[in-house]
Amino acid sequence: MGQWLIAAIMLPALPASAQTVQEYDLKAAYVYNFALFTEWPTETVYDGGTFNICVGSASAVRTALVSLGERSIRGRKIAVRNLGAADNPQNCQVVFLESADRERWTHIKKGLGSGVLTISDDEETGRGSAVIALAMDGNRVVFDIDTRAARQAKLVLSSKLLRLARTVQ
Amino acid sequence: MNAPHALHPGGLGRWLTQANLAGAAAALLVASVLLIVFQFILLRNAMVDDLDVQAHIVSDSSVAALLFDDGRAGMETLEALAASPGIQAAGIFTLGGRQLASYTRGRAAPVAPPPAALVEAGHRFGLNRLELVHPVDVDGRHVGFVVVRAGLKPLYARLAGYVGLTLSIAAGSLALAYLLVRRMRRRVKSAEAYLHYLAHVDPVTELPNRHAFNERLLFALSRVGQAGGNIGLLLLDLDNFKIVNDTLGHQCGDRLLRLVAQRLTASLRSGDAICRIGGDEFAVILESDAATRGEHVSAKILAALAAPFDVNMHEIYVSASIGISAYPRDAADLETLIRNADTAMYQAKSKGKNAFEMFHPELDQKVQKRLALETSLRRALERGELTLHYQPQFSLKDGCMVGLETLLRWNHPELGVVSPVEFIPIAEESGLIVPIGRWALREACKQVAAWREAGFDNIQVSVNLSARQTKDCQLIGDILAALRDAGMAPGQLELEITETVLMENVHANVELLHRLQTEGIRLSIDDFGTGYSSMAYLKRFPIDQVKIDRTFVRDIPGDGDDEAITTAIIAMAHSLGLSVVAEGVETEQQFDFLRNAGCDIMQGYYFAEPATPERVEAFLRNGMVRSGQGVIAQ
Repeated sequence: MGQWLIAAIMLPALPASAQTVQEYDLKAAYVYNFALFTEWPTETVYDGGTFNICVGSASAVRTALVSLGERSIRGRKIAVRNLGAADNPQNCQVVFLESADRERWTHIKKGLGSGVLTISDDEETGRGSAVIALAMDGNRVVFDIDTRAARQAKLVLSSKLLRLARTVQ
Repeated sequence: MNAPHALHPGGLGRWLTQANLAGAAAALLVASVLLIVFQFILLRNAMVDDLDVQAHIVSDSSVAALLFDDGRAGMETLEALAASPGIQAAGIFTLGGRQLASYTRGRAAPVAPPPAALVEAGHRFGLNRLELVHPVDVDGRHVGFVVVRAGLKPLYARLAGYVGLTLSIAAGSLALAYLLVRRMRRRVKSAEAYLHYLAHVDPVTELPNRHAFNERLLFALSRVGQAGGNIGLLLLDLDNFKIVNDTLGHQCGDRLLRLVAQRLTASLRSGDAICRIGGDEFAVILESDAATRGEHVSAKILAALAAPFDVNMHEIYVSASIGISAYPRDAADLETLIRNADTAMYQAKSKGKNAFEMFHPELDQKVQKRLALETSLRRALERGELTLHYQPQFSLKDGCMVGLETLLRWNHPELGVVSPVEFIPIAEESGLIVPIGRWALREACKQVAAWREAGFDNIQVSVNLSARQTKDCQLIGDILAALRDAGMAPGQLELEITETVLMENVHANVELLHRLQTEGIRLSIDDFGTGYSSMAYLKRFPIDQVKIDRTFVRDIPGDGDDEAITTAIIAMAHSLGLSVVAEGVETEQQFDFLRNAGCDIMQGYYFAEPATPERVEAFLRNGMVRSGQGVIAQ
């Protein structure tokens, strides 16, 4: 049962030259792990019965996320959806934001209610709006957590996760 | 004195105590070992549980660190184990066995990735360490392992403490048990010794008792049987001890026995055993040169007893009769040895007491004959073998017959006529004299009645009373009934009591004689001069006449002493107002002497021999005078 898990979760240290396919895989694994340590409110509606991760259609991480494949979170299969302007982000449990989504972000932000874990891979967007913000520290992937945003989103992040965060606001 | 004990009563007790203690110690040891093993298992299990809890906590806290591959966070989690001093090292490993974080206490070796077997078993004990693996789970799946290693030193230290405690408690209990058992054993031993003492020692004299005597004699006999040699047995019976008991009381009697025992002990060698085997019977076992020493020792004992004993201000003279029997010369076994000594002792007694007698085979035959006589005497009354003969007594004043003395005759169907000298002592000893005496009394009274029918009034008869009869409480009732049935006046009956019998129990006899006299019966002292009458007593007895013993009459005239005694008795009796009878008068010389001395009444072959009632009646019809007895008619 554990073979695929080992492949997905065990995070290899990044080589010095970043921005490779490995980096996207790593970030996708981070997304999955964050979901493991997060609790969604009970009234959350899972559109289509799946655990929906929304990402820009052109995102480089998208492939890696899709390759999480058959895995499930809290008993639900993972579905990767497009973060289109027309789409209602309320149907997403996780929204993964990149620098390409900066223009859309303000718009999306308005549509966000409770029950959406926002993960930003862009330092500009991330500051003061996303719940978790990824960053590079040397050749390591690190993350910051905004507990106020988490509270607004009615999400509960595990203390285990908080302990691993570079900063907690 | 020898102690013939093949068994040592204390030895068995000691052995039992030691066996008990060894058993208790073994049981305690087994119990202690079991407890210690049990405790070891408990401690080990507790340690595994404890370590598992800690590993669980660590694994729970290290999920995120594993998932995010955060070695620093893993280290922080592990460092919480510093609070557990027993834990030497710990590590967090991925499922693939890569180490994420490691913790060691001091310079302990870090833990290695867990081999599959250890993962399977959960924990593994080494000689001095315990390794435990706990999986790290998230969302129901394993993501890694926490490995914890603890040293076993604290476990061993606690176990050592427990072992020390258990063993010292066991040793303490054992010591306590030993003390209790020893105390109890001491009590049991002293109780045993006391019981042994009670069972083997006579409390009055503190000599070995009959039980101990039998044991000792048996032991001595078996020793002779094995090693040879011989044994002498002395049975000693105090003469007339009963008188002391009856007249001075049992306390004096006991005191006398103690003093006698002391003298006996003092007159014996240390190798000889002396025991008290009955009321006034002692036994001496001579273990060396017995055959030759028996008589010597007996003489020594008689000499030692000769001096008077001082008991509560009374001066008491004691003599003894001793029978001697030797083993194996006289007897082949214990019973025969004792019986032969007994036989010899009775022989010594019958020889006149204060004597000893060596057993010899003829004695045994004598005893056998005596036994046979006693058996047939028992049947003699029923079979009518006993008859009464009568011997006339004559007054010297007028030559008239004044009375008839009744005399017992026994006509044995096989042995013929048995002499009263032979059977009266047997009857006396066996107690048969009481029914025989009662019969004789009634028979004599009936005879007097018969003579009265035949025309002879006022015939006076004298009947002998034995020692046993004087102690028979029915005596007076029997006498009065016999007189009444025969229609006979009490004055026609004279009772003769020997001086010795009279003096045996003075107090009771004075009372008896007074009652008889009150009834009007005449009383006479028989065999006078052979006992030890005190004049004072003679005065107190309500008697009518004395009868001089035939041994004095036999040697007169000629023996100056007997002449003097006879004369003195007659004079004394007259001065006390008593009449005097001489019996056994056989010659004219005796008759002359007695008549001159003033004797009142005579009886003997010189006048008339004892005869059957028929012959007496014929004699009476002949006008009271027999031809050829002109002396009386003068």
